[in-house]
Amino acid sequence: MFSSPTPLERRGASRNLATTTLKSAGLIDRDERMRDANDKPGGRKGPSKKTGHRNRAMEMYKDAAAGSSRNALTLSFKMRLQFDISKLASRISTLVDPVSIRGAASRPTTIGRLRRSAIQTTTTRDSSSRMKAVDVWREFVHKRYNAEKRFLNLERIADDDILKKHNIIPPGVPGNTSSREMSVIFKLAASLKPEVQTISLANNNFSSGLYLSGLPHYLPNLSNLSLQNNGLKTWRDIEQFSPRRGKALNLREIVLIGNPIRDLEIKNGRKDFYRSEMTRRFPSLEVLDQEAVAKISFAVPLSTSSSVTMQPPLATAFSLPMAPSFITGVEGSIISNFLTRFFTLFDNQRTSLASAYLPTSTFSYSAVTSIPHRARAQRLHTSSALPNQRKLEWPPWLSNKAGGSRNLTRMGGVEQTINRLHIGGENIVKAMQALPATVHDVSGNPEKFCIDAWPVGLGETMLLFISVHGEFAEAPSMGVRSFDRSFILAPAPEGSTAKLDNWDVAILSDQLIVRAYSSYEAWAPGPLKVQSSGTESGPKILPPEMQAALRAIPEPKQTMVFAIIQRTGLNLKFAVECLEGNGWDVERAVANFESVKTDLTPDAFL
Amino acid sequence: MAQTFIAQEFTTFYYATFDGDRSALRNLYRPTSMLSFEGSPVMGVDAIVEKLVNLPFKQVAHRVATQDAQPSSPSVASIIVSVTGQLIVDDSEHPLNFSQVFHLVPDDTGYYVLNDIFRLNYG
Repeated sequence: MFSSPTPLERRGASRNLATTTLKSAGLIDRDERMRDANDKPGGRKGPSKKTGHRNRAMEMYKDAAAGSSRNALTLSFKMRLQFDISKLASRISTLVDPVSIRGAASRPTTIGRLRRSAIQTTTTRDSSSRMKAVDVWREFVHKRYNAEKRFLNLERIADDDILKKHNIIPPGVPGNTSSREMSVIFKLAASLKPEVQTISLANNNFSSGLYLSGLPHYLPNLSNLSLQNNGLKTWRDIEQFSPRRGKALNLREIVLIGNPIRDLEIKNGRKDFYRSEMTRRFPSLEVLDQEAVAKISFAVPLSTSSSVTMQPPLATAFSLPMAPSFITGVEGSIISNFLTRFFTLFDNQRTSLASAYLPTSTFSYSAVTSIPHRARAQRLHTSSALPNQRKLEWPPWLSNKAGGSRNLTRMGGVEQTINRLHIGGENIVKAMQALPATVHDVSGNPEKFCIDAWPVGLGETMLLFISVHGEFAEAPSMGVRSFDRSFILAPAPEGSTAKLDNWDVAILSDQLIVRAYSSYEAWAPGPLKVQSSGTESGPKILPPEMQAALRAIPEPKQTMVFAIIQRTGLNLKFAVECLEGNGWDVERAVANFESVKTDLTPDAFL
Repeated sequence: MAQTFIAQEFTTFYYATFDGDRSALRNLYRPTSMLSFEGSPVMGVDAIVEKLVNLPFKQVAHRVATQDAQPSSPSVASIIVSVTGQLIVDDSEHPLNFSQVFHLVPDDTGYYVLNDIFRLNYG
């Protein structure tokens, strides 16, 4: 760990690693290798004539452009919504340029790849272009990617010249119902930089959601998806890429115009049903079919076709992004060397740390014994995956020869305050020896640590301010705890024990906070996850008249209503409404509540 | 142990001000102050106040769980203060756990925040 100076580089490195891994794995396993023309001795019929599809594409372009601007106007005036409803549609319409797509095959940049590929094993039938299918797809994906707009145009795959040239049967055409090619495309798309934000799969004749089943896995951060003019018919098709089974695809915008699943419902006057079914499956959805999603009610009729029970979302996001380590103004190696040596000695040989402190240096620690909200909701303290957590004990931290935890908000008096501040190397290591033995995984996953560090000019010296968040295993149980540790470091003064012991820096101040384990995922970059279960707030008390009304509801509905009130904080009326809107399915009702709760007025709650 | 009292007074004042009127925190920072708020660095009193005032919540209440303070330099009476606690935002039922480290330095008028590291990363 600690080996890379900046988070940027660190992230870059892991990306490179991933790319290398993909490359060395040949991108696909043998059994995943794409079907080629040899599998189909009869070959395939050529797609529609060039002139024909060119015209179609142009028409589509016109339609999309007209449609999007019209929608944008109406909506921005009528609804005054802040987000740009027509973003996806307009992006797509401006980017769909059939001429440039077709012309790209002869770009000089592809020549190198072609030549290199020519010596590789031939898997296509066409001997004039000796390329592996995966290389063809790679070229295809790169050609179709507009990095500036972060837009991957996968429209009309079957019409692409590259595939025709190499006799590859694209997904969606009659005779190829396999989802493999699409998974390969998504896998290749996952390595595009910058990360893909928008994909259009319009006009691909997809009659099954299976083609999209790889999407959540490979492109979990995708935000806009157009499936315009395909053949998706059932909710099962949609559920192939909706967030579930822990694979969250948090789409912001979806276009399903021109698919039977949408068009039939609209034709039958069930647009509201269709839209609520979609928003229920994609709680993060803001724009559907170029119309803003209204998140205001529980108007979710019972779905009879749904075969999958919605999982309640584990967490909702808070609008503060989490950022990785921040290190500036200091060479990363100084921090890395210091922390690696420090934690290794702290784990294995605390006494030898004495030299790293000056006679005036201070050390203290405090223990936070409460289990954090999100960690509790994730049941990290009782998880069977972390069997040692239950054996962890606080007494060794709270009362020991070091005097115990120094939490100034709970101090017994001045004496305690003084006794629990350890001054000078000898006293400091004496106190540290009284603490439980630890194992910091300094050589392990760097993501497990989050470091903020920068130099501080103070008086005549330049100091280094470091704050580290991380985790360690604690002996004897080897359960995991989280910690925060702040250091003030100074260049090791000439003649000091630190200098003599080859420390570049001496520790002036060392403050440790030990707390119940909360996964390092807590600081993974991205939106802050806020656990949405009310487990810690205790049972909710109902006003007497509401209790009476609740008792009047027959079982088992009474219990269900009570459960909803407890889990959501809704009042009786809204809890009943929420359940009715979700076919008296408690999990679905809670999931629905989570997706609309920010738009509920206070009178919906207890 | 003067620094422990200063630290306690400081945190009480800091969070009360934060929860009441964030813009009044201006008095606690200087042009040389640096804040790293969830990994994003901000330098100087104006930028820091702007950052704090524009955080995406209206109402906020800090609940301090632990707090510790130490002198941080043998030559200057500076103090390092570590705080953990909970942030209750806009009456949300889900408190956000935070950890914050202040580096307090004295000048003619009293103590000010030279460095401030804020993280919402636990729990």
